[in-house]
Amino acid sequence: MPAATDQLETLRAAVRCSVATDAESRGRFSVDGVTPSAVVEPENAKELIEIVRWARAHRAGLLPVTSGAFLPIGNPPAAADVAVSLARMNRVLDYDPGDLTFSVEAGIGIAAVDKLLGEHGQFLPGLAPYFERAGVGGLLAVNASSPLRYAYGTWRDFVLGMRFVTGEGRLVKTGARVVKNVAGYDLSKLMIGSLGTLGIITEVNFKAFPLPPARASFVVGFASLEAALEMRNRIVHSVLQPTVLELVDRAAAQLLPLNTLSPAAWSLLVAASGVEAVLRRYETELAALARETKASSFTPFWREHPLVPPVPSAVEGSGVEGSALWAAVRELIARAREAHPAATVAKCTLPLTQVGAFLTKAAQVAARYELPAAAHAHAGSGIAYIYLLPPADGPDASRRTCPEGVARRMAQAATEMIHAGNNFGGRTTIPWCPTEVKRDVNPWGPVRDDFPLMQKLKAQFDPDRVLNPGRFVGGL
Amino acid sequence: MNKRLIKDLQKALGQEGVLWRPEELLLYEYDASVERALPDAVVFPRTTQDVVRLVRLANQYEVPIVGRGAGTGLSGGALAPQGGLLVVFSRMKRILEIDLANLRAGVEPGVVNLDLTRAVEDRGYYFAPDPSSQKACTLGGNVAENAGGPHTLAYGVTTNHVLGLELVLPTGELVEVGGKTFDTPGYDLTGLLVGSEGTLAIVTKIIVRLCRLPEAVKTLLGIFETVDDATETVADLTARGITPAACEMLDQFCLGAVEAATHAGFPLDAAAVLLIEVEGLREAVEVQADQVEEVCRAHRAREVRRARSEVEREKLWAGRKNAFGAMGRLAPNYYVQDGVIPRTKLPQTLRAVIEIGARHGFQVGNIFHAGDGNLHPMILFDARDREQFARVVAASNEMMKFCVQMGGSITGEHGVGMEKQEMMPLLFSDDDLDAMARVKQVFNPTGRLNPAKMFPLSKSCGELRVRPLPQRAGA
Repeated sequence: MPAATDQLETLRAAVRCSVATDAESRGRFSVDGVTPSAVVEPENAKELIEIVRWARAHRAGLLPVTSGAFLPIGNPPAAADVAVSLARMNRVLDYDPGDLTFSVEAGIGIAAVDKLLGEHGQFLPGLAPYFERAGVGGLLAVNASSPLRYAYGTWRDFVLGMRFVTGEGRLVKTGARVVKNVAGYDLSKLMIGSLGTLGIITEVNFKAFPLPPARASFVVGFASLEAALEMRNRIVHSVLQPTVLELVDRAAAQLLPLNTLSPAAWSLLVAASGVEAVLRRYETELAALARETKASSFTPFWREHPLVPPVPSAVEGSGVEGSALWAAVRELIARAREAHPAATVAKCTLPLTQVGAFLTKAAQVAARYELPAAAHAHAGSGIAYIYLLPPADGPDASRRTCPEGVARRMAQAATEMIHAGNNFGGRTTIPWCPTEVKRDVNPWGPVRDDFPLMQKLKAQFDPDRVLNPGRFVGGL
Repeated sequence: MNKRLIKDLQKALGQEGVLWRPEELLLYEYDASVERALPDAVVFPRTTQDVVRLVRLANQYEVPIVGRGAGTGLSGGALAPQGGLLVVFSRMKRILEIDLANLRAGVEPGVVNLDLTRAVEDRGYYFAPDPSSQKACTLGGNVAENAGGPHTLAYGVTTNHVLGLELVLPTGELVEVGGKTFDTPGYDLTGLLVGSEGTLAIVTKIIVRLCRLPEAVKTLLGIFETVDDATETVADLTARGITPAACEMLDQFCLGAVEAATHAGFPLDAAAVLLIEVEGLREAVEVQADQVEEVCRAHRAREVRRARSEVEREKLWAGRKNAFGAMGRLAPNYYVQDGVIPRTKLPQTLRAVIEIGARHGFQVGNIFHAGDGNLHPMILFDARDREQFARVVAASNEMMKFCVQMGGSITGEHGVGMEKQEMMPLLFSDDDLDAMARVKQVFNPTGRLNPAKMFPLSKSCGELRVRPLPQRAGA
């Protein structure tokens, strides 16, 4: 929709909710140089359906958003005429603490969910970057990753069911609100990580988890990547079951607003939860493993709140250095992008044994293109992140836009990382990068032979391509 | 059956790869459900390419094609209600790759669930989903049904442990989805395929996660004087955030049959027992076992026993896992249900289940995954009495309606199959079912793959159709 005034009039006539067209409202959801002509905020599924039906009738593209925290992820939109903000669909619909299940509208902030669950000694392990801003719908749309995934899995493991509005404006329910259910196809799996291209999620049923009685964290410094990964291997193949197993290099540690991290070239960050006797055991065994793998330092953190994000009321009086550590690690992407808006972040999913080879290769590639780089990995899950930063001496280091030369180098480096991912048995995507970089690199990497099935699914659920068109894998 | 098709099948798979004589087909007429259906031919592929050939032949002759593992399914998923080819995977049972360094294994669909664990347990690993039929059931069947099991309470069901699949689509095309790593970009087709009951594609290879065996395991048996005390214990364990690895309930009716069959030491005079297992580090297990015992006692457990040896533990589990078989001692047939409810609704739902059974003239046995809220009411009957079978169906429909009213589901792990397709409208609207039908349209547009399953067959979606009696009901 080329923002024609009469088109906006038809939108106003077709929907009950308010239609904002002021520059500030629209600018909030600008993505890759595309600014929607209007922002609508439906209050319920009925109003959302009206919007989708209008978009179908007028061949308009919708940009579904909760907070917009993850909006930069994906291809530049093929059309983003109207941003659909779910900010007003933010209610808790039901919470049964005794059953450890709850149901929320998709526009609710994850911080609000976390606070509510925390009051009942429970939590949701999907605590990803942009914790203070992120909405449940956005987190699910991008399948945002949490350091806790090593112990608790990802969204697909704790979503029990949901409702969503398809590109034809139909409200569909899938799953249920019980912890076990196999009635019908599991469409939640299809929706999670689909970037809103099959449907706009309106409600989600979750499984909650009991907060552990206590937690301890351990920071282990290493002079070499090989030694750090050797310790990771020993942990993964031991009877120890830590909740978090992360790896950061010195450059990544320097992005964090902390001085608790060791100045080592590589730091392995481990968290364990349980009763005191269990945590003592972790301390003893991890210290021994650190010695055996020639760690340069071993620092335990005790007396901390068991949750990753700070929960102010609960943290009071309980030494928070450990929690601050995990909150910082969780927010690494956010911190990096704050300090370097033009940062390019590559995410590679790898077999555990290939994490080292990929990180080594990535560092070589970055050096070859003269780009400062930082590395971070969900080391226990085989997920590596490389941050390519604009050169510090460049005139535009802190700007969101990227000088032509730097963008080209970033795109070439990212392309090589996509190839490297494939060579090491994994898949690389470029979730975060400046618009200029997207001109030369496909953020999702090449499609595979299952792509025709994805195209057909898209055609069934969103035949007129009104939902986030063009932004997902292969331009879906 | 078309003689030319049999010839072509034999040409593709060899003489020994095809069964077609009526007496040979009888074995494949049933699974572990109460349904019956006779295929036209049973075929045994050895390779993925064999499966591709079979699918192409089915297309050429326009006959249905249905995958089948060990036939232990409880909802008729592996039966051929419209005849055609039944593809049995008992010859595709190779473990293709064990990659312990990456905690992965690649298997053919015919691998028996327990055989995978057996292949890696001496090195300290295992495959977590453990359906009660794990000694017989295949991983292909587990993927189709998204199978659960007692220990899925802590470790998740099949879908949480499958990362990649090789598929033969109903067109004969070969496609790989997912892979060895997490977070494959694109739509999560692996997650969609698991639990699709063989209606979207035929799976020819599965990549699964392997887990590290826990250091310590403790098995407890809480013995209760009333069913309510047992169910309230489960609700309380959940509410207190105590997550055992498994939490199973057996009522008095089942205990009698199980004890007679296995002599595991289950008490015969208790109203119900809870079989609870805690796993993890030694230090954690000690504390958890004490917590579990405390909660049991708070709900008036008469006794809380702890298995003193691995032999004692295995006996208790043998009793639980062979319970369905033990029911054969009590009646010619049983019909097992598979409802799910929120754990907070457990006491009232179990009371309702017992009341509904009584009202229809049946005593109902209950042996189930209490910690998940996954009920398995078991109605004993005699299938020779057709009127009785009709009452069984009426009673179980009523139980499932009650579960749905409690905010639950009609199936937690057994699947919809031929058994519950007419109940789907209890849970799903026309639009919900239409969304599923569109997924089926993408993968299986002719409907030739595993026809007449999962979706309601009746035209009016809003109403429950009276389920026809199977030709010869019983198991």
